[in-house]
Amino acid sequence: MTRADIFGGVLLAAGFGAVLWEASSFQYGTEFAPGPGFTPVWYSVIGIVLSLSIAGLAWRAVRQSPQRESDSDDRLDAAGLLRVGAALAGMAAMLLVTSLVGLLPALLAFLLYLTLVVQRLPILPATGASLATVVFIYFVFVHFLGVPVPTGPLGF
Amino acid sequence: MSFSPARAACVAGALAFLSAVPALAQSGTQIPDLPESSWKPDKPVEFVVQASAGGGSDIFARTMAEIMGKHGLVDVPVNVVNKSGGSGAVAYAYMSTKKGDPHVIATATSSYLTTPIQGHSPVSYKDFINLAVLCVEDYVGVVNAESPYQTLTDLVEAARENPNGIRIGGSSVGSSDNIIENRLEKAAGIQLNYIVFQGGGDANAALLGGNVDLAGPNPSEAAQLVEAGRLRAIAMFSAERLENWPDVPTAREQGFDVTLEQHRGVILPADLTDDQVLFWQNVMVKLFQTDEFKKYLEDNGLRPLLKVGEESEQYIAEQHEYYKEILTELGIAKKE
Amino acid sequence: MEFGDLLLGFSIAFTPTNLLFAFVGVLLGTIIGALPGIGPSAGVAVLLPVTFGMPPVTAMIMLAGIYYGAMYGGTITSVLINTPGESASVMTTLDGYQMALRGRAGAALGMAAIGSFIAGTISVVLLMIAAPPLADFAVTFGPPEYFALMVLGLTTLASLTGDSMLKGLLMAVVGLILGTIGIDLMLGAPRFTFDNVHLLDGLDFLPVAVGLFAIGELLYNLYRPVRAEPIKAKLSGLLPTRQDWRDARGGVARGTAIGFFVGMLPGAGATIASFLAYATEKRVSKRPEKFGTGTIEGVAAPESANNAASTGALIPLMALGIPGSGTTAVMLGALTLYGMQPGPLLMSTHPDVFWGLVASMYIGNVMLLILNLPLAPVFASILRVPYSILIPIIIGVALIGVYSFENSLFNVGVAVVFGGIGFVMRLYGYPPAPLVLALVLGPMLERALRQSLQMSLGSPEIFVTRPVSAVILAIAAAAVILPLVAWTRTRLAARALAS
Repeated sequence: MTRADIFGGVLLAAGFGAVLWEASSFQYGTEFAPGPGFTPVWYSVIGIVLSLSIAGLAWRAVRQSPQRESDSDDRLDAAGLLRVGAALAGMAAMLLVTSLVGLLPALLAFLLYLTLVVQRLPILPATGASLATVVFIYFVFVHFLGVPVPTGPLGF
Repeated sequence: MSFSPARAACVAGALAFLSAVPALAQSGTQIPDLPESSWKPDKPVEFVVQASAGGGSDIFARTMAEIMGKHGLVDVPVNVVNKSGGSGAVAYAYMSTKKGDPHVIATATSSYLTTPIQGHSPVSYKDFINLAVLCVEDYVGVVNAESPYQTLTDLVEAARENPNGIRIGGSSVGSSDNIIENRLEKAAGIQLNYIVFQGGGDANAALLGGNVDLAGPNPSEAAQLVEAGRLRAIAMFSAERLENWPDVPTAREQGFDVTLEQHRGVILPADLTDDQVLFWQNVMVKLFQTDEFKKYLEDNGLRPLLKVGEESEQYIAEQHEYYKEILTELGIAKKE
Repeated sequence: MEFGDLLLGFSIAFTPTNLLFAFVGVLLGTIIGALPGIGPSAGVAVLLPVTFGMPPVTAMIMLAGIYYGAMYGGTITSVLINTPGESASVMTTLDGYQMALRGRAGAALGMAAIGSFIAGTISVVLLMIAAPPLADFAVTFGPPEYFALMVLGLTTLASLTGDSMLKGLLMAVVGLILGTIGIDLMLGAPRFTFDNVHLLDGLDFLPVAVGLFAIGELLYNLYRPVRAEPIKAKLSGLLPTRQDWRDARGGVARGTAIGFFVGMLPGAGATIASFLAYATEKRVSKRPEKFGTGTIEGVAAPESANNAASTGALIPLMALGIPGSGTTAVMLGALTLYGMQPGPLLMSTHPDVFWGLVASMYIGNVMLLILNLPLAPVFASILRVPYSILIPIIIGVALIGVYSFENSLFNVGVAVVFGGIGFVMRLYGYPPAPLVLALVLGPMLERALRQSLQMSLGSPEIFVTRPVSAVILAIAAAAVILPLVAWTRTRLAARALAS
């Protein structure tokens, strides 16, 4: 239990609160049986209790041993987070351009970006792995299994 | 009116003999005579299916795609693409982005109409060209073979004495079973207990396991279970008796005006030229007449019904009104 | 069953054509199972047109081969790259991937193949001798019984929680809530759909699982490399050892029993079977604390269970014409296409199809064992490729695999979002397994609860007056109370000692 758990617990409790708010507008019960609102309401109530318990326990733990704050485990690695964020942004961009250029070209572009820019691999293994992956996917999924992927202006 | 079981059976037998011939007549569909089209597809055609692979609509589409290729009705490849989800909402939302593209066609069944009525889809039948209706499915009321109900009348009597005591299993709100339940309640003035299962197969299992009293599957789904003596067919929810089920009286014969048929057809995106539509109309008419398609209908217990062009548009509009009325009554239609 | 029937079956299954297509089926099944996204039901549907023109028995032999072959194949990617090839393989990632990180991927794959073989063969025997009565029993399972089964499933969630019980339970609640997304089946009301047509059917399990497990793991590796670089063990040392077998055999036996039983219930399936098998194994184990760190029985139990379940699912299909899973629903459609009426008469009207299929399944399981056992070290050697090179390969195949599941880019987006969530969860020690399993159990639990109360017109007595439901609920209660009693007793004993 660390300071991050206090924050996480409170954040999750707020999330469950939003779910409860939305779920309270659903019909709670029908003539005989629970309605669509029954389970979401109770799940979010349990969720609020659990996440506040986590926050509470973490708060107590941090108060009792404040020196643990300096643990290296608890500090985030900014460069690492940047790599993760860059990879996620790349995937989102891939999805956005898929309808314009086709799924496989978008995937190839994303993999080149991932290996060259995010992972900073040498150019040969990076392009090799990206190309091989897309060729493998083309033959197995598109050619052999007949998966209909969105195609771009070039026809693939 | 009320029948004794023995009398109902006797009447049923007599009617079976009489109705065999008219039942044949209703399946004789007029084949329209269409001029040839000067347009034809010049790249592969995408055949969108609103359900997942292996289901009834998927087999419908794959059979048609196969016939189109084999008989040279379409000389480019026809690729079946499953876009399941949201009871058709996903597939038809996708189709609506294909305006003016004659290289995409899609299958359509009742969900094509019922999902928009429930307000779960941003598009409706008015956003597409309703190319053709090719066949309809019938529904049969079945009970467990060990059930005390020999006829629909018996079941209705029991329900009258015990409101909510008779359980009917179905696949979802607004589905065929739900509509049958609603119509039967209205026609007989009774209250049934509708239990929603996930699919038709689950409802059949619940019937076999004695967890529900009545279900309303397609005749083909129930055929073997009835033949094997596990289920009993007590009413056919069609206007007339079916050729393959001459001994099963219709609900109407038993005094309850409950009929339901659901169509299967093909739609096109909006904004196509007349020539492009004509091409696809020709494909549908020719496809309908192939032996393979006739065999498909027979194997799957579907009743042939061909409507293209204006007739198809009119049929779909009528069906839409019919569903709208019922779903409004069920309280699940979206208010306007 | 008569002996002559089985002889007839083998005489059909041993014709060169049928042997060939059994082999083609299990080989394709292995590949399809290993590829994330394309699971057995999509695989069977995609390859259905290929079977047109074959005799029905040959076609069924091939399709069934794809089905149970996929259960073998699903293990491969789960163990090697933490990417479940199909939903029934999620449990295998928990210990299988940990084994791979410790250089024991070959042992995990080998034991999965052996366990699957044993489970598959025993299940075929049961299918052969008792299909009709078992099917009759399976259909008596109504909503109250499914409700009890799901409650039992939920009680075992506690065994998957990892370091912090509280965080595990919290993730289970998140999974349950995610499971309520979509159109409510009973009343047709949309819940948490935000007017998005793609959410009407709810979140699919597979994109969420691939996101949380595979993509989350990859992102964590980008953040901080965790994987020991190329594994240098000898190939010969990669197969299961005698000790492995001693550790795993109980798991194989229990996994087979649970898998077969749950698999034949039309409303449950292989995913739940593998989940219950894993949780049971952890509960009966003498070293439950080792689960999740790479125990061989944690691989053997769910893998045996999912294979037994795929055979069990054929029971209601062959004996009653009722599909027990997505894949058997496609096979039901296939039987109709071949001009047969599936149902209770199938075994007597088409004995060649039923007995030919049964006999072919014995042969197919042997083929899969022969195919998978020597290949296990070969597959495991993929891990000799530097992990930095594997990252683009895995991410590419996982994304396209998710796409091909329903030809949906939306699902790819879901996988990416849950990849990000999985990374954050990993960073702060929230376990993903309870979330995905609650996502599977939740909708069934809710449906069964509401169906049951609708059946009984609101009376909760229905859960205890029906014997099967009552027994399962009693087991679930025991599963909660017994560990609590044991825990209190040790605490009291410790306190007594201290004073």
